[in-house]
Amino acid sequence: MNPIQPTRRALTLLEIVVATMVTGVMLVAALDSVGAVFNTHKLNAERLAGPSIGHELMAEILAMPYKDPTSSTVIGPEGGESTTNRNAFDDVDDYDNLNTLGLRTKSGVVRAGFTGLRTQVDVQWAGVLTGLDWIWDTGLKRITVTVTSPSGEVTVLKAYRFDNGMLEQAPAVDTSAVTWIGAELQLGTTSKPARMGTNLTNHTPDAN
Amino acid sequence: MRRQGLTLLELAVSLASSTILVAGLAGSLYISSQALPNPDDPARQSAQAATVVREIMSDVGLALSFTERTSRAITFTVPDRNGDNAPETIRYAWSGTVGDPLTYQYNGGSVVTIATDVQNFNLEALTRVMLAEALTAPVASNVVFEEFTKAKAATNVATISVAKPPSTVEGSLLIAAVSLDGEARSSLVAPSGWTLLAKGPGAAVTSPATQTFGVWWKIASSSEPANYSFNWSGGRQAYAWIMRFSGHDVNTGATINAFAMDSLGGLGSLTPNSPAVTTTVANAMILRLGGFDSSRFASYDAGTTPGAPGLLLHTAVTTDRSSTSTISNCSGAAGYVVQATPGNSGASTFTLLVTPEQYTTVTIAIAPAPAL
Repeated sequence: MNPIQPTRRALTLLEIVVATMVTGVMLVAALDSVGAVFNTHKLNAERLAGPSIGHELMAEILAMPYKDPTSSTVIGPEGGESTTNRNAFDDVDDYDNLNTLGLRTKSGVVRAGFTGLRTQVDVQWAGVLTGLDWIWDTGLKRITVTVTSPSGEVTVLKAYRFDNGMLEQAPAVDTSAVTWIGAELQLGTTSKPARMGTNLTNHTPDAN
Repeated sequence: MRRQGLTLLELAVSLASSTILVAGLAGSLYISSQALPNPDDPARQSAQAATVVREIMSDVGLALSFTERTSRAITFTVPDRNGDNAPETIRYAWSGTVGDPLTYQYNGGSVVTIATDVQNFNLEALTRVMLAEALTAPVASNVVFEEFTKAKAATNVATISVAKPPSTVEGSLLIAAVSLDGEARSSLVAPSGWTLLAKGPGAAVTSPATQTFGVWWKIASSSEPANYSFNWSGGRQAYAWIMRFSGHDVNTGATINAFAMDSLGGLGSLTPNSPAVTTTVANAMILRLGGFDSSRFASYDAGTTPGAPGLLLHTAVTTDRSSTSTISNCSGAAGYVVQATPGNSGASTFTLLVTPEQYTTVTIAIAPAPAL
């Protein structure tokens, strides 16, 4: 004779509700990590943008002559050189204290797609042996470019520029040389454009 | 055994809750799928654009020259990359049509797509006019007296041989002066290749003169003899010397900027006049030479030390005589000064000792090499 099987009860409503809640909590946690993946993508793009923008501005500065043609001996823009229009800048230290919110072309036109981005520049004389700040012209300038993305990502670039450095030597014949090239590329309709610039290391004659 | 079934209510509640579960799971599956790598993802496209732009910039930074530079296309050369010692040509271009690819071309080869679905590609450039090194302000070279050789004929002879100044090179300016005792104006000649500048005394001194003086010059050629023989007829004592100069204008039409001659017969003078010349170039060397009948200077050349010809403010070159005989000897002297500005040099005087002498003096202005 079969033993009497114990009565098997179905799940109670309470148990179902508890199980559903547990599943829900786990789901929320799982989706959180998906969100983190998205954020990382976005952050990566921003992290690429910061150095690119910084490099572009740094390249523009490095392409400048070391000394002001008027032989000005102070750091910073000379008379007639405005920070809203960098076209009049004619030497490296004119960029000192440049502080721009939103990316602007050299002639001061706002570039679309970079709202909230801040670029700052500091130019200082530096001791040739020590690299420390110097209060007179040592023939060496340290350029610091700081790019702060809208989300607060900070990119700091530093470069040194010698008075006998790049593009300081006179060419053999008068040349209209290309000193800097910048490019903007946008792929797909919804992505942010990428910007980058470079200074040219040679006396590169321009195309006619 | 009796098993109890689910009530309708329980079934309905469990269905409802499982529906919510399935819906949530399906939603999370969709969201997760969106997080998978997707080429059309804006963030990924931005990253790819940054990579491509960086690649372009790393090439452009090394550019040697541009042959095409517009806002959408750029063609430039970069230093040799394939070992053929010739620069490579690189072209990046976008047609300008939204959606078209960005292309790369290496040495005119096949066109490679490096980015698709390009919405915008824009190139900018800064150019600077770079002036060639200003030539350093032309420094007019100066004529420089380098050295001289001399020869004496202490007896009455008809020729004198003077050695070539030792450091003579092609292009050197040589000026020869021959001073003779007695009349030899018509017969005194230089070897071929020399150009007569002046021979005196002038016609105002009637023949026979008591002294003769000739001055010649030449630009040294690549093959100069070791000695030069100057000849005349009749036996005469002689003093001859050849001076070498550098820094002169080697254009033979311009080397001698001006010259003048003066002479005096009769009783002669203790202070023979060295005539003025008028120069037309800056920094000309005023060279003053003189031939004198048996004369005496305050001092004579001792070895290489020049004597004192007079010629106030001039640098002495030589004062010497054919012999110490005071009856039939002759002497010569030279000195120079550089005149910075063109114009009249003014006259000067040689200074003789004790007895006035007949003389022939020549002043030459030597033009310096023109500034390049």
